[in-house]
Amino acid sequence: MTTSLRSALKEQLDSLTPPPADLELVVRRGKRRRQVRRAGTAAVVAGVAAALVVPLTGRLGGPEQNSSASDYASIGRLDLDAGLRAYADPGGEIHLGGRTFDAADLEYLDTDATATAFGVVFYDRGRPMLLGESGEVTALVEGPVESSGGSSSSSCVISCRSFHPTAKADSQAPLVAWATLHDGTATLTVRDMSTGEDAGSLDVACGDCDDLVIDALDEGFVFFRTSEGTRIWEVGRDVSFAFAGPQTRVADVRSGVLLYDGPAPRTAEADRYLTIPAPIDAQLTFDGRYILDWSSVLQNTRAGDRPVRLDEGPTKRGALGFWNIDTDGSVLVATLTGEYPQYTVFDCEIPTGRCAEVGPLEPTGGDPMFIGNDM
Amino acid sequence: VHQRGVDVAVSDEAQPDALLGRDADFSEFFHAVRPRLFRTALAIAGDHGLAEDALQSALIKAYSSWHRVRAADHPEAYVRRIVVNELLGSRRHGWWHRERPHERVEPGTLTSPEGGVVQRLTLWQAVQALPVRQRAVVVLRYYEDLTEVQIAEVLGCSRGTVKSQASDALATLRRNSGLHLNDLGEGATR
Repeated sequence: MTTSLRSALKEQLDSLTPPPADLELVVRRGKRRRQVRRAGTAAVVAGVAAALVVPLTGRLGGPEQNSSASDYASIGRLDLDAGLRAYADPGGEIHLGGRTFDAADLEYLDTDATATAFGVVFYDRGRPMLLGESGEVTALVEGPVESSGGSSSSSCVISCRSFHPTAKADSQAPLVAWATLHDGTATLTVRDMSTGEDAGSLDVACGDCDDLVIDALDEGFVFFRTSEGTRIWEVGRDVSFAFAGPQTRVADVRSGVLLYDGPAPRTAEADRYLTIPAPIDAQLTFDGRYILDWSSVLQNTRAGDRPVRLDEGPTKRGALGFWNIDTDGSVLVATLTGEYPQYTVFDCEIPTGRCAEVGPLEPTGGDPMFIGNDM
Repeated sequence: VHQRGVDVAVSDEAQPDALLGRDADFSEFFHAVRPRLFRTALAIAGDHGLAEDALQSALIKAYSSWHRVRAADHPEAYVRRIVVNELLGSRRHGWWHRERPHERVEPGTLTSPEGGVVQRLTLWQAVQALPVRQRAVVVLRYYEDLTEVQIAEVLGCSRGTVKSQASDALATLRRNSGLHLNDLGEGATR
């Protein structure tokens, strides 16, 4: 007697009645997801000339101690359907969500700013700000904050060190992490951007905290580094663990895969991750399956997968090209397509490697730059 | 889709007609593909809740990137890939990535009129006991009728990996079901 595997599956599955469909729910959440993505990008809607009429000089010349959203002019909404696509000719123009803006008007969006699915997070004198979907800039934290080590910015005239903790977005949850400094205490905060509620906060004893850096945020786990080493803060349970010593740098963490530079982390917490040595500026795709490292060939992290080769951009490390993981998980590539410095920016899908042209870029102020990426 | 770098992105509110068209397109697609995709998801997940969650998440992503999905050569295949990757990539449900404890199921008296049914049930249970990636390969090959190349694209791996996963899966099925599969895995005999 013979039984077919095909018919066994067919018999079990075709007779099955799927649960009731809820199209309305899917559309509602799909729209929200789109809006969340757009919010993140809204920043540069530069194309709206009217917005540009309102100069940002108010912010530039604003009061030193009281950075606020009102210091920023609205730039209107952006279409983030295909990700933020935040790239720039330093000092020339900035591109966000398919629009072009004069870099002078958005000079706060540099490699220290962080492109997220909810907008661009940047720091204004120690205060985390969000350039959101609407094109409005909002302060993520109210109240007093400081931008440098020491209890008072007025106390450090010459040797004042900067507080540059960066911000990070979770690719698996609607979470963004940042840090603030006040009265000698650094506070890490993780906010659920879909609700606007804080998921948690953690005070960190870090002295002047000039060396406090948030290296990654993955599935609600924040990786932060001080002079004593890297720790993991599990936001959901509000507990933190030692992860690695001060010589180890976490380059990126996505979906349980962790890239590090320096000595391998040897704590028990490290066993929860697939740890892979990599250059400090390497990045992971959102699913953690591929490593982006200065090449259009992305190496696989798991046995059984194969590298992804993008349709555009140089495939040899060291060749002239620039890459970044976009806020929707695709890969942005700036590659020479004419005589130097005539670049074209492409948006490439993972894992197919298929690329679509975003637009030309001919930098006059340096190498092509991706917002939130100092690679 | 991927816009060139100048101007004119308009909000949802400003394009009601376009959105109506978008929703109508998506609605048609949703109802057409959902039953099949759910069955595939269930076969891979082995759990109604996980399958439903993965499918819903994939459809939400599809809606939010509808311009990309619609522009794909095969929109259903595009979304199926999202579903499968949702299932394979979910660390939150890591427990089911591991091979499940499997109690060997004896197919009973195969000479009875119900023998074929029992065999197929046995085979189904053995499929459900496979490691998840092998299970995905089997479901995509024998339920979705995809080629090795197409499966490789869905899973983001090489064709060779698909072949070896399929081979391992068939060997495990033979071992755990007590049935004898032929070389192609098309049939099982006892």
